[in-house]
Amino acid sequence: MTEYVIRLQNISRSFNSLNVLRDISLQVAKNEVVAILGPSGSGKTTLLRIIAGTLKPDAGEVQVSGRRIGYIFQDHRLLPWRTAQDNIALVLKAIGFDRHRAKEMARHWMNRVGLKGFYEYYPGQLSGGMIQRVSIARALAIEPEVMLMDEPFSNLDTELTDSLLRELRPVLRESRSTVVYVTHDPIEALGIADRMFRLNQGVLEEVDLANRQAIIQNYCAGRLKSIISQDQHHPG
Amino acid sequence: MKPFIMGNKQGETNLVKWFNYRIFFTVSGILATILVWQILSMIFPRIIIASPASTFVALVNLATDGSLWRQLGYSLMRLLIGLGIGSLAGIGLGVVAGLNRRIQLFLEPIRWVAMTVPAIIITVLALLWFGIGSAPVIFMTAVITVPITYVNTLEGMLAVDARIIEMSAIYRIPAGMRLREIYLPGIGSAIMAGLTLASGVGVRALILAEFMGARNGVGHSLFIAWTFLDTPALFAWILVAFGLLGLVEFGVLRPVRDHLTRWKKT
Repeated sequence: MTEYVIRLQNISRSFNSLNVLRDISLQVAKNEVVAILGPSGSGKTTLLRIIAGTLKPDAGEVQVSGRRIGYIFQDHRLLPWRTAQDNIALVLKAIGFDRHRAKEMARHWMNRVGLKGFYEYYPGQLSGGMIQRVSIARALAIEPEVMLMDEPFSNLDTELTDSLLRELRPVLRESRSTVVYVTHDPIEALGIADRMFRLNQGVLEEVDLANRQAIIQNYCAGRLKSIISQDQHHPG
Repeated sequence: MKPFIMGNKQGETNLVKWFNYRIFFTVSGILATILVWQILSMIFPRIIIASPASTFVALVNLATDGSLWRQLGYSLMRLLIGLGIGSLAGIGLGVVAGLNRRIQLFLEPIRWVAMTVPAIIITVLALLWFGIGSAPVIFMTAVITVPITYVNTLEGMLAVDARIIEMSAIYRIPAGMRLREIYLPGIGSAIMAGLTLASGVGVRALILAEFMGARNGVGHSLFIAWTFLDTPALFAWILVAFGLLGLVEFGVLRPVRDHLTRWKKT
């Protein structure tokens, strides 16, 4: 029998009069990686915040059986007054590691994400890609049962995103976390997900992954058409 | 505009220019003040305004006979104790009020009264309750410091990034650790701004309280010079009062502020 770690039943959430999420149901099995696609403002982050427990839905039921939740934010949310190592050690101390062991673990996870030697750097001294690696290391360090990823690479260039995804895939599989990965880029989603959903006007629709090639072609054709049609609307 | 680059000749030249620019205007300001002072001392009788030269002589006399250092020591001790007690209370209350809206609302009228009551009323009450000596001076300095540090700390608490707080909730960082690792470093600049402001107001309160109800200290020495119409000494003690503020700001507050905000320089 499938063990579900995340269960959302008939979730709705609105902000003022705007219905962001409408009657959403989703079950994510243990160790499964689910991607949720959608453009900016489609409610992806709202859905993640509801799963994380920092936002209450207006209606519906949320069950998350994992006790440790790792969250990779779009905007990293590192403490600027703490070094990279201390930012990671902080969440480790929060789950009971002593200071010495937390720092040791933090260094281990920084090495894993390719930041060996940058332990004593403050976030302000690191590049965007390095900062996001620290944020990833912080989330992985607590060995989360549930990993929530909110457009973690949206501020990075394609090359760096691909290389981070390449490094992250085996680590996520190895950590046996249940992952919800939110993005607006279907190629990123295809690169990491077991199942994929599209959040469309507050409604969650599953995307059939049987023909990945067709999804990529449709996405590329759609983008190209959109750019060219912009050209036609504003000649010169 | 040429870019400011450290570590090369162009950068060093710019740094020298900036330093010279700073020195030039600071020194010009001081010289202009002394010039106006000199002119005023030539217009008004010596008993009304002592000249810069006679004030300087009085200051040297006070320094050589040791009374300057003794009285400065008394005042500095009272100021630091008063500021310490007052800022601890103000920062503590500001943190608690920042974490709890009900406490913030409860403290609001008290803060309002504390900020609007004239210093002279607090001095009179302090003298009535504690008599002559160090106690009313320290009490007065502390009472004046509390609302200033409270307001700055509260503003700092309310300005802590809500996204960081959300991160700490997701990672289940315990309340004590959240206070120590997130709130306190986050409000460091606001606290230091409050302390700088409080030390300025505190020196004024201290001098007033010593003037009215102490047997020693800079304020009391001012009172003695005023009683005996020793205007050069009076002006010398006024300069010492400025120095008292400088000692606290540059000797205590700036090093602490630089330590707390060292990450900003990275």
